[in-house]
Amino acid sequence: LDDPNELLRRCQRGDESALAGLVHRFGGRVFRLAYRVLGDAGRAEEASSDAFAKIWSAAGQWRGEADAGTWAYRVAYHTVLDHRRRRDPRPRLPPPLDLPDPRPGPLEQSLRSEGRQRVHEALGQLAEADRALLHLYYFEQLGLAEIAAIVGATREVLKMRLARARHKLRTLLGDDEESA
Amino acid sequence: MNGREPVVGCEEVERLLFELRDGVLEGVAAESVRSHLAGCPSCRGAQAWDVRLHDLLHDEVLPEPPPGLAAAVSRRVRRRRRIRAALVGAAAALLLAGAGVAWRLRTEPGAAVVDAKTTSAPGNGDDLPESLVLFQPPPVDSLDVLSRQHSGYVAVLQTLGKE
Repeated sequence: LDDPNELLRRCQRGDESALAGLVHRFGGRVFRLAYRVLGDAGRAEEASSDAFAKIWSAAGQWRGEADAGTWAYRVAYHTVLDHRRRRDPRPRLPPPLDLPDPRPGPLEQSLRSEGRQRVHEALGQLAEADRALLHLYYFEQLGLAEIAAIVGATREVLKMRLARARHKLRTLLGDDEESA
Repeated sequence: MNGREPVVGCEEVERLLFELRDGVLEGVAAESVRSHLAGCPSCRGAQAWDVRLHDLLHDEVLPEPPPGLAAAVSRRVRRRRRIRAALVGAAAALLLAGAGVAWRLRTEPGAAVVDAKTTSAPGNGDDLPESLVLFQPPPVDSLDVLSRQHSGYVAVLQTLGKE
């Protein structure tokens, strides 16, 4: 049985094999989020295992209002952000970007060979919560309702935060409304 | 834009782009956003950026979780369980020890009692009666219980330290 709701119910009954099932099912998602926020595979692994240990110990609090996957992801999201704050209260910023000549269109340049790397670096300059939001929306392609449930925000607040994060990223890449 | 469609500003459109992409924006609201986009180069730029950002991020290759993640989670859960059990045990032992000492003090009224009349009288101490006990150590068997409890804590901590 790979149904997340059933797995979480079994965790509530103390079945450790169900926890392994949750790790199998959601380990990739949680690890990728941790990697995106923490920027290091070792720390991402530590944060991920901590997240699943918290899911295990807090399983009794799940009442079934939210889907088990969303609930587990919410616990993981907060654990990952806690790791970031605990280990590195002031995020290290990479060196400023060497912004391209705007005439050919910096956005177009971003799409070329180094484009992905530049976006990655620009993401590194965002606040971790903004980075996590963009990751959930664009990389994981979760819907607004699910992201709102994960981060604990209303849909309206979430849209505002996402729009702000997207705008910051665009500014960091030297792309403005006129050049697009 | 026709008369039925609400007028939306650029800021609102930028937020509604998420819902337009999600496919949850329908009817009049969707039409009003599309009308706005048709006449607003700035918002069209924002929409183009949204699409490209999606392409860039969605296609990005991030590392996979290590194969030992499940085992690491299991170890962490067991360690937390042992620590919790040790803490609960230590707290229970402390409570029992405290209760034992309190019970001893109640059943042996002479222990650790200072005679108020004697201490309130200033003097050189020669007038203290020989039988007065200012401090009495706990009985030997109480010390033995405390000693064994202490050894137990040390053993638990050593076990945890080895793991």
